[in-house]
Amino acid sequence: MRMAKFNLSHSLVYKGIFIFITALFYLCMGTGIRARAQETEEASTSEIVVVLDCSQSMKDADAGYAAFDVVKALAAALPRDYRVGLVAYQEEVCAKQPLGSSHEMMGRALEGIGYADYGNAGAGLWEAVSLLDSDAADKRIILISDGEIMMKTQEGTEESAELFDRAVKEAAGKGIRIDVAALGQKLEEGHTVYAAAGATGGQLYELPDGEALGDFTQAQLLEQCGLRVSHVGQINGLSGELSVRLPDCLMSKARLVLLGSQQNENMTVNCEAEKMQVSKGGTYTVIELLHPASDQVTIQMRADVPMDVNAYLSAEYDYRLSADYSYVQATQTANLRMHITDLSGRNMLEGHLQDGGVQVYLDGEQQEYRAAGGFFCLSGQYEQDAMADLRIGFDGLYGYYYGEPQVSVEIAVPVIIEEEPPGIDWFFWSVIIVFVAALVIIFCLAYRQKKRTAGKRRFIDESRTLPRETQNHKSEFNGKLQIYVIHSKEEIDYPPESINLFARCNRDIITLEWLLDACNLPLNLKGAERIILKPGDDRSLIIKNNSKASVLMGRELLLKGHAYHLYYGEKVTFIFDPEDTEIEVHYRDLKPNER
Amino acid sequence: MSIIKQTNRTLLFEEINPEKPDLLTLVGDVRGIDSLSDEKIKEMNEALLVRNFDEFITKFEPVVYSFFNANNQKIMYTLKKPETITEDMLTPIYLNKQNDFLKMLMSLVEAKRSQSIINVDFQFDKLTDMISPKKVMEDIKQNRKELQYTYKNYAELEDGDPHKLDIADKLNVMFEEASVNYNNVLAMLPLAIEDIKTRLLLGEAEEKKDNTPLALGVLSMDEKGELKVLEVPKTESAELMVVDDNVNAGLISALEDDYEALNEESSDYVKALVTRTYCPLASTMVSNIDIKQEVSNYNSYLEFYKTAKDDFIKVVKPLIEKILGVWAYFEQYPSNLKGMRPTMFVTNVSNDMLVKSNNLPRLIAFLNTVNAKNDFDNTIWYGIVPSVSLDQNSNIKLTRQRFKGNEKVEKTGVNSVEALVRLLDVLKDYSVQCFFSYETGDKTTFNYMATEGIEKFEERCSSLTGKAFSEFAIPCIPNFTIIPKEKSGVILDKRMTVNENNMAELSREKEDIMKLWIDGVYVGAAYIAAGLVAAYQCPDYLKEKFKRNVDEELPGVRFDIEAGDHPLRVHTVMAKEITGFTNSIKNEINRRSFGFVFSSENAMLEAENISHIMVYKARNLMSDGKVYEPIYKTQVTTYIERVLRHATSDYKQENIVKFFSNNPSSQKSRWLEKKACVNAILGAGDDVEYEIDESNGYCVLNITFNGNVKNLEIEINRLNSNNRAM
Repeated sequence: MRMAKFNLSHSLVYKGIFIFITALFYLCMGTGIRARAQETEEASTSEIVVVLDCSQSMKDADAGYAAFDVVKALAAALPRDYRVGLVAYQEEVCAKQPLGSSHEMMGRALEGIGYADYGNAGAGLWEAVSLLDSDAADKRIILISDGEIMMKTQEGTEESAELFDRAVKEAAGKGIRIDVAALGQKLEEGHTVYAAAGATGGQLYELPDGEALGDFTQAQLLEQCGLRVSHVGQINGLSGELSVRLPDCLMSKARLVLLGSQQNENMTVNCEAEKMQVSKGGTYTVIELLHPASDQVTIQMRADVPMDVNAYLSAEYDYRLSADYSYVQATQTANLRMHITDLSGRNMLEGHLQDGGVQVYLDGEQQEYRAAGGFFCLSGQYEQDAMADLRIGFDGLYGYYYGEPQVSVEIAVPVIIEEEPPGIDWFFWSVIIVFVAALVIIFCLAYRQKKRTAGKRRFIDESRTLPRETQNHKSEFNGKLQIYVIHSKEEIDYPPESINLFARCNRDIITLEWLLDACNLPLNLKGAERIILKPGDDRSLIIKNNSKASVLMGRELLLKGHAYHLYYGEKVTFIFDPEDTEIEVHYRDLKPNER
Repeated sequence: MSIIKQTNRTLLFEEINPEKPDLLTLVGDVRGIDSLSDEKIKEMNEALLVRNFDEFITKFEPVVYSFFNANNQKIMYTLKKPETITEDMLTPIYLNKQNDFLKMLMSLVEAKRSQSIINVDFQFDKLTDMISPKKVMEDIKQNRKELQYTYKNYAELEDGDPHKLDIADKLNVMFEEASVNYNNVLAMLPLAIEDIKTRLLLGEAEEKKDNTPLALGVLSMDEKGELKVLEVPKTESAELMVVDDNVNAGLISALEDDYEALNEESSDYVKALVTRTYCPLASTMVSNIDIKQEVSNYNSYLEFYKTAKDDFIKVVKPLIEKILGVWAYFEQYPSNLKGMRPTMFVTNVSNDMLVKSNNLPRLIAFLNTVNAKNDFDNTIWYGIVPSVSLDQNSNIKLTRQRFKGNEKVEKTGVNSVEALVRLLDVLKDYSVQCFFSYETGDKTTFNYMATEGIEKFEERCSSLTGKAFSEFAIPCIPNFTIIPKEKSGVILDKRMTVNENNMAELSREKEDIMKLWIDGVYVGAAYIAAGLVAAYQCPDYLKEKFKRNVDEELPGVRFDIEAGDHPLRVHTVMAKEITGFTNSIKNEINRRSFGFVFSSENAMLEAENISHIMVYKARNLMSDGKVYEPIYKTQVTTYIERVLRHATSDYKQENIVKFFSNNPSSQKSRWLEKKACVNAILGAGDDVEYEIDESNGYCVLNITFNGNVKNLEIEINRLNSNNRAM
């Protein structure tokens, strides 16, 4: 009778839960899913104009034309949100390239120009300032010169110096920073360009000669421009092979920048990509891979003089965001899912983004999220219709990410007809209370028991555990036992023996006597048959001593008639007949391949 | 490297000095405990860990005890301190760098190394006579010169001069060194032998021998102008040969006092001998000498010296070979480098004792403490088991001994294969790679292997292959020869006879040549193999050898010594022994790539001749059925397992995923960045991937070495912790 009542109450509880879950399910399914992307914002860009002094005096400071490499390296290595322009001057401006010029365009513009004539720094700088006439966030001029403003006549020089000062003031007014790379000995007399740096908040780099421009370029790229790269290798010596693994193949463009002294006529690049372009100079090489198809890139370099090259990897990703949601009425929570793909629709969460590092913001606040099923999943509470603004951030990640970082989802809270609240199910609640009370009593009893046996090793109360174990006894013997006879009556040194229990021991219970027999250890120990070993939970071995022998585990003597767990890496010592025979048994793990 | 600071600590399974603490004693009772305390490990390191050869000698003080047996009138030697003999009857002979026998052997290796001459051409006798009385005397003569000079300086200074005290300190040290020669009779023997020889054979000219007794004279002209040598009247005087009489008189009295103070039962004969040796007097030659008595003394001294030296060498040789082994281990790492210097932990207990069933748990407890923690400062990476028994046959004599053949002496200190198996079974659980070599002798040398091949060694290893521990067993062949058996004769001197003119002369009969046989001295290949592998773990060492492409942080665990020009750059410091192996022997070695094989081959590296012994193969005993596996694979696997365990907080699943991710900051990416380095953990063509077996709670690492995959299974701790929490 009591049993029947219990079953009835159970079925009522289950029924209640079932209705509750079904209602939730319909609520979720009924919610409309709508999302729309926001209007795109103009990405903030940086603009750099390199002003080159190509006057005769530069020949002494930079005989190798390393200054030309600076502008070309910047054009090749910087990502798309950096726009690089060029102004070169002699007596007048002799070469000019607008912002956003490529490495080839720079190369063509500088072709045929040598260090000659006088240096009209005023005209050069004025031209550079007029190039930077946009609203870009960061505007910079890098002036590479030996420092001297010198024209054919004194008047001409004065005029140029005056124009130079005006250009500096104009730059300061427009928020343009001028960095000056001054080559050779610093000039103390005459009209010089050094002051431009101080007046505009820029930096003055004093470089001994053109050879130092290699390091200058490296510093500009990595420190001043903060190129987001990861260091992927180094080549020292006359030849070397560099094997680079791209984090994934989802980028639009991967760029390998090799910086440092190199003589790279002999260079081989192996990779798979839609298009590849190599831009080279005396202190830099930039390998640009458009939509790489394989993540392996191998570069072989050979030179006649030792090289010292550091390789950096940078990448540009184009992405699209979309989002949807499902609404859970009961908790008034919208479970939002954000999907990020590249322009061809491949899920970018399959690439390096799966390792984390992405920040997700909901309505301007950063949220905890989890990546599951190719989505960023997060949730927010909405009691009424609202617009959820989702935004993604890539701070701290390597590479550049281009796309609309924000997407909005219109959350529509479904209107449901409120049901009559069901009356309080007293029976249901009384069952729950009784159940909780029973749990509390069991817990208190267990606590008292534990207190009584505190300080002792926890043994297994078989009256409780045994029926359960026998009922659904799926534990099997695992691991192996190593047996060391520490001491025997006859003082014989028995070699250590090992017995593999996994899948070889098809008994439910084994005894120490059986173990000794199986290991050919003729010790004839009285009571060994009453020491029982059987498999326990978590691959342990349960040991129960019913004999007169002393059994030690750790520093503790095991109680007679009680069962104890022996886990991997532990050992147990059996001592028979006052100090006559002593056996140590070590329980060890068996790896899958040893089984 | 920041996690693991060393990958080359080596455990030497040898007993050096039974009087010193050993591993078993220090570990103590391990009943109920799995590991040892930090204090205990510190104490053990203080007693048993050595960082160089000098520290080894200081810590273990290898010693031989000698005592006299009145019944057979012989000196007895023993390596174990006889407990029944009182201290005052025992004379310990310390085997340190000052010991003439050890000094001779070490000079031999160094001379061979600098001359780069193979064994067949090397003049061993030039160096082996370092232990003859003549050489001992030469050493003393050198010391004597210094002693006299210093004493002269001392005597010249006024009392109270502070500089005099400094010189006195110096003089004390010199007297202490000299006293080694006169505080025991045995050490006096070479002195006495040479002394008698000097006095009796003074008339012998260098070129030819005159049969007339010697009488000193002066060159003069007689009345007719004819040249004549006139005899000078003999006077008994105590004149000194050196100019400053006072100085030497002082030195003589100082020596006499010192001798009397050190020897309770001093004899006048020995006292005179000591003073004669250190302060030669002009008068000695003109004294009345009982020639017959002196010749008889000389012969009996020589005989006694020969027997004593012979017995000493027989007893001390096994210990000397161990000491030379340790010396050779440390020699592989250049003394000027300050990087990851190899260190050695000596068990100092015999292996028969260590592998007893009741003692193995102590070794396990020790290894459990140093190798199964996430602290890698004390981790043992290598083991050395030298002198594994080669002969498994019994000593049944099939033939009657018609001629005196080799005596089948049961070699002491030889490790049985059974003991090795027991050790390997423990070492494999703690990933300790064990270098072992076979017992030394003429059957395990380069010469023997060049003629007989490696079949015998491979056959002897057959019982060790196909086992769980095979991966950790590295058979090292052949052993190194310091002195070959056939060239190990040392001519001490010739007997003396009295001729018809009542003059003493050295016998010219062949049977009167006193010769002793050292019977070959060898060093186990395991010491040198372990020393070399331990040395190339150090990035600084590799930097010195390769100059470039060496990462300064990473250890040489992945360094493949067989690859490319690696054996030519990283070679032992031992000189070549033979001209090389024949092609058929090399084919035999290459067929299955057996063992850690050294080769003595002609080789050139960038126009430079390599005159040292190189590594030909570096394999363990794990075989895929065709070839044996290179040793570096095991060490890389162990290294990755240890780094992974540390970095993933004992194999937490989520940390494992992070460890192997393609993120540039993951450990795997950082290793792959350094792919081009000689000491890269993952070299060109290597990779490491993982699969997680959710059902069993295991993570399988597939480590690819140049296309060959090696698996490593590790238990992820997600399953256990969850279950245990329940």
